[in-house]
Amino acid sequence: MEFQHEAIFCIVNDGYSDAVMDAAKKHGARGGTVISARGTAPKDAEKFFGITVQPEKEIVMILVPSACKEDIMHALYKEVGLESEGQGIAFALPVDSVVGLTNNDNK
Amino acid sequence: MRLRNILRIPKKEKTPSSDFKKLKLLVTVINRGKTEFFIDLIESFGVNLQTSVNAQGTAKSETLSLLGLEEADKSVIFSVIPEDKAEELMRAIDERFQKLRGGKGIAFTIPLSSVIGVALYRFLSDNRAGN
Repeated sequence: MEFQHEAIFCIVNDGYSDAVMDAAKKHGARGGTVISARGTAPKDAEKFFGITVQPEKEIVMILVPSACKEDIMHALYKEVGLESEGQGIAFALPVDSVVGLTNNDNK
Repeated sequence: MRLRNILRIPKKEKTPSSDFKKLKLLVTVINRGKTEFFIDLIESFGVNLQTSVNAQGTAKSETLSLLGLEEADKSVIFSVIPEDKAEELMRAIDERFQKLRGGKGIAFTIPLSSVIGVALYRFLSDNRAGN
């Protein structure tokens, strides 16, 4: 089944949603929605990998045309990926049908 | 020898696929003031499970903010809907997006692959006949 759009969910540390949007907009995203959240991580994993997981998170949800998805995911990985201060992860879900996108070039 | 004609093994009763409704996750992003309205609208289609969370929009439109029309406070409503209601529901939501003042938003559906629990599945697909 061909999907025209995908929903990208990017989970980053609090305060990095702007960085997420900047990266995404460079590759075709128009806007996103930011939800506040709290992350959890097992203590021994933190010790083993030598990182501290900040609990306060933001989830940025961005709806994009499938054609842009790959570029945006790569940009997110580079700008706000796990190795950056944003400590972000991103995943994309297929989207069946969309209403409400008013733009002409989004068909 | 035509054994096949003598031994007629009846085909196993197949459960008609029409009884099995696929489920989708409907995500609706709207201005916070319209949350109740859209929850009621979606519920009127026999949708039993909805969760709404507060959120902030990031889309900036210079023109809009110049006019002071930018509303950043949003609500995201997650609803589980049966596949057969999806098209009708999306159309109704789109209609409100266009007609309702301050009602503009975005809605999309994500196919769900699995649900655990028969009672939960019946609840989600609003199956009152108890099939």
